[in-house]
Amino acid sequence: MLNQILDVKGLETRFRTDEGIVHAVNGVSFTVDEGETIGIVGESGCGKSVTMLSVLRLIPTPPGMIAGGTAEFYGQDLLKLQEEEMRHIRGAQISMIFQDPMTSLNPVLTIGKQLTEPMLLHLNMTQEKADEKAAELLEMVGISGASERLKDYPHQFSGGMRQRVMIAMALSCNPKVLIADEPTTALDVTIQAQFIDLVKRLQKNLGMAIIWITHDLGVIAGLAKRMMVMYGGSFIEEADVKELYANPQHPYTIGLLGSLPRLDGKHSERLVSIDGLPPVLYEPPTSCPFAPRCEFVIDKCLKENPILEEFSPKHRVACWVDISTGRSR
Amino acid sequence: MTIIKKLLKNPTSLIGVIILSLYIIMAVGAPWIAPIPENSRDAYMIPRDGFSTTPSPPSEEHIFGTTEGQYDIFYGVVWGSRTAFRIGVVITLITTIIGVVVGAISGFYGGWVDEILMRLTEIFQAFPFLLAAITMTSVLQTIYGRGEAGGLIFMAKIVAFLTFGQNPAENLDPVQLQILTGMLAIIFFGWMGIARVMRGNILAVKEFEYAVAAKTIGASDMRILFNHLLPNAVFPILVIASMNIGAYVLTFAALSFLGLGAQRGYADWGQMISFARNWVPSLVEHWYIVVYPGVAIILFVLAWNLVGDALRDILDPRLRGSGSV
Repeated sequence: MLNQILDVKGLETRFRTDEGIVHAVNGVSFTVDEGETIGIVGESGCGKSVTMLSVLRLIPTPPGMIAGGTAEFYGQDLLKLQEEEMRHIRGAQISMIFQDPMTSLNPVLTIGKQLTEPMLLHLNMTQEKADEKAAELLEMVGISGASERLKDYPHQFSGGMRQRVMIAMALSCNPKVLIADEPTTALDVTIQAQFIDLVKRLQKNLGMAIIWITHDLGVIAGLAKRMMVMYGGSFIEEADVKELYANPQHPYTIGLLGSLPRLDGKHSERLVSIDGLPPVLYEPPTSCPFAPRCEFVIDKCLKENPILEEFSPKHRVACWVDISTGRSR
Repeated sequence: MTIIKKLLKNPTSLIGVIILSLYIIMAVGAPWIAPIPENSRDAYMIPRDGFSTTPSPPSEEHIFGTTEGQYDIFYGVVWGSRTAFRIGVVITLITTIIGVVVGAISGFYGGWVDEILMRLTEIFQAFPFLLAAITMTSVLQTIYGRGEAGGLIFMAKIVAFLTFGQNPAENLDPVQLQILTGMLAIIFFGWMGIARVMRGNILAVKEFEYAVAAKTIGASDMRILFNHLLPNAVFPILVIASMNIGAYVLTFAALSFLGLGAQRGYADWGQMISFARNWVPSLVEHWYIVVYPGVAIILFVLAWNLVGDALRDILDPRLRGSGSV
């Protein structure tokens, strides 16, 4: 049994807006073991990023606030730490990479300056040592002529290379957890594949756990072991990757998989889309948030919000309907 | 470096740069161009050749003539360039620093911090600039004259150190003090424009992902603000600052002209023009008492404006794609 390093329980995040309080994350719980990769999928606006930003306490407050829950990292509740202590966790213990490599690097600072910054902040390195290490890191993520390129600015790098720089930066202090917030979305497909290979290799060498947020089920399939599907600020299905793809139980998961082209499927099959948009929750959900878009909807769905229940060992789903019969479980 | 190259390529800015270089040569070389008389106690006090009130026209001895009280105009114009640079650069430096800090903090923290700082800025902006500066100068001169300045002494000493290299441990020189009051008055009412521009720029850049990215690596607020956001927001400030140098010299000249800036006989262009106040009806005859210092001011301001204009074109992000800045 591997050590559990991150244990999030009942996380709730809200945003105060002019239209009312938006309940962005509603009681999310998950755990991360040492060195494992978990995937969080869901469409835009369902709370994936906000969940991870909440764990790192990067939600702008106000308007955002973390209303409840705990996030224990090695037994220490991140949500209760002082800002000062939190700073020593960010970048050093838990680091994060973002979707858009074009905007997440500062255009007026050299790559070297940005790459060495976490090491100077957390590892008390001298500038020379940090420069050396930065060159090694660039080499490690597959950028050649590293020590020369440290003097370059971000606009002299392509998108894929910038994302490599981002990951080098995120890994510079040997973090225990890497949160990847849709890091491949802005890359084209060939670069995506290279990047995923790189991440796998880095994980094998460095042994950090990865939380991979994406809406691309194809990307996550080859990467993660365990997967959570998120909708309306809650996890609605959780299973091992193979199980989830082979035997999806929530109508939303089925919809997501149905909208995905498959090479091994029947060729003439039409891709199915899910009608409608994810809800903006001004109240904590009292009915199933997916009900308005669900084809299996029954009365109970509109009266009570389902919670995650065990469907089979290691496979949990939050749905009132048994989709094989179309009736209540 | 590319900025300087571009400044030299653009014809307008080239003119500006050339004029400025001439002024710099004049300021640096003042002791050789207009040698200090042997009996002089203060190089910045214009030497006099007699005490007659009537100005005398350009001659071999005084190539720009002498103004009322027989002050040598050539000496004043040459040494006045030093005063102009000192005053312009120091006022701009201080107002820019104040403006950048106030604007950056205001934009970065937002909320009530922003509210308080921006309302304060607006209160200062509500005063007509020149009138406020004139009033403030006379008030400050009274306060310092009575020796009741208290905390203001500290400020004057900072400005004195930056302007004259005056040792802060020593007492303030009364000749300098009069200039310092004028400078302080301009500084009091001169920082708001920069603060507002800076606030807007910070508001724009803090939304970029690299601001969040900087936070995820564990950087502190101040580090994010000054290391990551400021370099992205500060370029437009350079443009405004370079134009401000000219504008502040002009304002200071106005103060001097009214007898509030530099002391009588000090090598300052505005002060020199103030000698002409009594000779307005006969300016056709005594043209040299206005023209030389006047042209000096005009060209100085013009040069800074040309450079500022060109800087704006060079640093404009929409035009930036063509090169690599």
